[in-house]
Amino acid sequence: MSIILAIAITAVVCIGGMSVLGGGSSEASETELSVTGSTTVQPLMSLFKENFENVTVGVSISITGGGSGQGISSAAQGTADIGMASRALKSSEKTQYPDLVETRIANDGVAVIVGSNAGVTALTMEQIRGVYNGTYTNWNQVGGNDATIVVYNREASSGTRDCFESVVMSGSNFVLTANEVASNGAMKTSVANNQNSIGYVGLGYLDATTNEVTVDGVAPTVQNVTDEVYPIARGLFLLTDGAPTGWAGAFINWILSPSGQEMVAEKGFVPL
Amino acid sequence: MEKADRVNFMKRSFDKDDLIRLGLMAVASAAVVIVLFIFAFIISNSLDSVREVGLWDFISGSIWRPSGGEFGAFPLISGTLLVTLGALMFALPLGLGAAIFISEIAPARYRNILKPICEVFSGIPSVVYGFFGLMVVVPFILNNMPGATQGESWLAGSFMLGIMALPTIITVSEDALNAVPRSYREASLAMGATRWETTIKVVVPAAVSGITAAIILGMGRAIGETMAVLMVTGNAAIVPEPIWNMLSPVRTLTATLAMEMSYVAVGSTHYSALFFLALLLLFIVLLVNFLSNRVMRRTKRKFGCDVKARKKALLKLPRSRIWSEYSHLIMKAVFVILLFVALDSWLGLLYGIVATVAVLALGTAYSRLPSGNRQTVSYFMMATVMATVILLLVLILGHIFMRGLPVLSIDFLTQYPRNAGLSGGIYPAIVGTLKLIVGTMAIALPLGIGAGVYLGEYSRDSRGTRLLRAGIENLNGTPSIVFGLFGFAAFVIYFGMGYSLIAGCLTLAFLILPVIIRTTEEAVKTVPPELKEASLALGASKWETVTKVVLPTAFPGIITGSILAIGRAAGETAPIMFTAVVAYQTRMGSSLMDPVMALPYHLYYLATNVPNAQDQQYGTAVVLLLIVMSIFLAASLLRQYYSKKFKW
Repeated sequence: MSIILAIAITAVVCIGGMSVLGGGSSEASETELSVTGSTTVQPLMSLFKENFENVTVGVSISITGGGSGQGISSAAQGTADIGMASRALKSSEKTQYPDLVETRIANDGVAVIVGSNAGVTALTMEQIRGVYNGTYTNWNQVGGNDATIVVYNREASSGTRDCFESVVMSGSNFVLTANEVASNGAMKTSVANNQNSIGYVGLGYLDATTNEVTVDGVAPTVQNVTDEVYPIARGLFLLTDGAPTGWAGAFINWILSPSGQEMVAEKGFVPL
Repeated sequence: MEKADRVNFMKRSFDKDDLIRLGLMAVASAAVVIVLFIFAFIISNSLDSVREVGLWDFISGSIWRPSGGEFGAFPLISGTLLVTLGALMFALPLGLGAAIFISEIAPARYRNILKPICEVFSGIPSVVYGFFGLMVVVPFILNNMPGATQGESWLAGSFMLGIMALPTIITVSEDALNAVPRSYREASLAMGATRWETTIKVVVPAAVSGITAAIILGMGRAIGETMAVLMVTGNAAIVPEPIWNMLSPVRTLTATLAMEMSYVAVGSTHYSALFFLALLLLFIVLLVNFLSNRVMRRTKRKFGCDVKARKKALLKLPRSRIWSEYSHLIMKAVFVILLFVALDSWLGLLYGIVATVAVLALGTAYSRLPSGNRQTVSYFMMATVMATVILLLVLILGHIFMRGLPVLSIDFLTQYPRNAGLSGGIYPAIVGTLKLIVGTMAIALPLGIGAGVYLGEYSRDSRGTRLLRAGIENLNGTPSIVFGLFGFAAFVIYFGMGYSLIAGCLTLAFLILPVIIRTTEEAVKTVPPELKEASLALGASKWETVTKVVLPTAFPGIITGSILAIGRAAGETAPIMFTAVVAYQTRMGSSLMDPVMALPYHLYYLATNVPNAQDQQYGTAVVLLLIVMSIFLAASLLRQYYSKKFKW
């Protein structure tokens, strides 16, 4: 019996102790700016961070990945000062978090990349959808070599997947046999390592090692996204609980300034 | 007057001792509180989704598509089970062969080298296994398996898990084989059996329950494994088609948690559904642990010192005789099926059949050999298995060190990362890992040692104590990703700590607490009772005896056990990925509330998020391996040092 009592007492002490610790968190975060969310925005944010910390004294920025969903919920709940998202807020999220303010900091396109043996350089929106919903399973069905298509997808609720799904899939479901990877980088590596694969990444991840295809005849380039002719495109956003003030406000203003937008172009995204 | 004084004095000292006893009891009950906490958080968070989806639809539904509101966990459950079964296909022959070689064949002086070598496997962090799988096993499967369209597969996951289950299977089966009484062997040899016949027909059957426990324990480890699977199985939420197609991608429960937990909106149905998956995982693992405990207890009864219990166990022979009559047939059938599936998935149907027949023919030829030759062939085969195991270890460590060591430089160790991790060093990750280690120790050591002392010195065998032990046992079996999930829900969200050093340390401390409690208890119990009695007889109080006699004597056992636990904590990724770590820092926070970078997560981040950062990846892997291995080495050196110094 006394053990049960001891257990109960310990439980109370634990909860009390941790609540006290938890209460201390708000005081310590004065010079610490935490940023979390989309892995698409993350490499860009790393660049912002390095440069902003160089021109500013008294602030330290920490960056966590985790995806747009987490960026939005963390900013709303205050577990992060700034959330990163690679999509606009959904209407459901706007009603759930009425205080959340989104600031567009750049534009991005999602490029479709294929393995070296696919044998295609151009796909239509319908063909991409067909590959991703399982209608086409061999590259020769979309004008490529005779080889089984290996489909790579992003994990549920990644912002990149969200953008791709809303533009390309138009309501049809992803084929269940698609492999899922947890980041743009993993996608790029997986597609590069498998010659019959297809995948998609943010425009900023394209380089000499990737084989990107044109979509409905339009190449995934910065220019085409700015001109709004490339179809699979979206905005990149930062989220704050209320209008950005203090260090968060200063940081976001700096990102929107010419020196910040220069970095946007440097990372292969599209400046505003 | 004098008498009253003495009574007072006795009363006072009794009060103090009693207070200490209560305090220690409270500490020990923390283990139970933690288990209750974990269950409470996970169950309460999972209720929403169960209510929305329905329990049966959740478990039996075949489509996992959270964005479309479809939560069918069946492919995830089947993925978890298939990967685990596949892992046994590798771990069983290798593990048992190696155990037999070490225990029955190798000369004694090699045994003392071989066993520690096999234990090195368990010192390699799971994320390093995953990294090796991603860099070596996945491309190998893609390029060498006929019919493979991709390397990320069930096969790759099972192979990695098989290797990771090896140390458990080898050590526990070797202990079981060793525990078989000498008289069994002598009787068999005296009747003219060869040494090999004795091994395979007497020693192995006698140790079969211990070996079964070893296999189940290995399975338990495999089921709860996260990082290594996540990185190599492709993560398509499907049931393979056909069901034995090991080249198909699969998705496990753990991988789903690790991938989707960090993206999900807190409070959504998806969030709640992930907690239900954790509950399912916990349920499966607890079931497995329960089974292994039962089997272990039976072994103890059979070979333990309790003569009465042993007689009872031996009297039960009729049931096991039925088993032994058919066991050969059953074993053979299982073997043929497994063999066929393996060869089939590798070579295709036709060649699979041919190869299976060929192997069976060889097996028959082997069984017709004269027993002397058969022993030679068998010894050769066991030696080959042992060599394969060692080769695997050399391959993994060699690959990583060969490519990682050249990367190491003062700059790499002392600089901050630059360009999202593509260049620069890993200084904050090293410091972060050390901070996590120190913080975890500061929380886990007092709690664990206090609880261990209570259980070893103060507790009586009451219902409360049994509850404590059950709590500790369950805590020990809980998969590390479940700790991560719990840490996220409890510390990060509920107590509002955010991603912070303290949340990570608490989560890791909970993870290693049961190990510290157990080693402390065992160390305390091995202190000879004469020492305690002598101390008490000289008038020392219970507490004085504990602090001045028991603890110093048990110190070697406690310290080595604790160091081993810390080594495990240092290499863990899953518990800290949602509680403490950030991918990137160019300035370190100084408070407990700041997040940190850590080596295991940095390796995961580099390997999956940053293409073309191979040098950085291998460099990070080497530093992580060096830190973890030196912790283990320190533990084993200490153990050797003390075992020479003290002999009871």
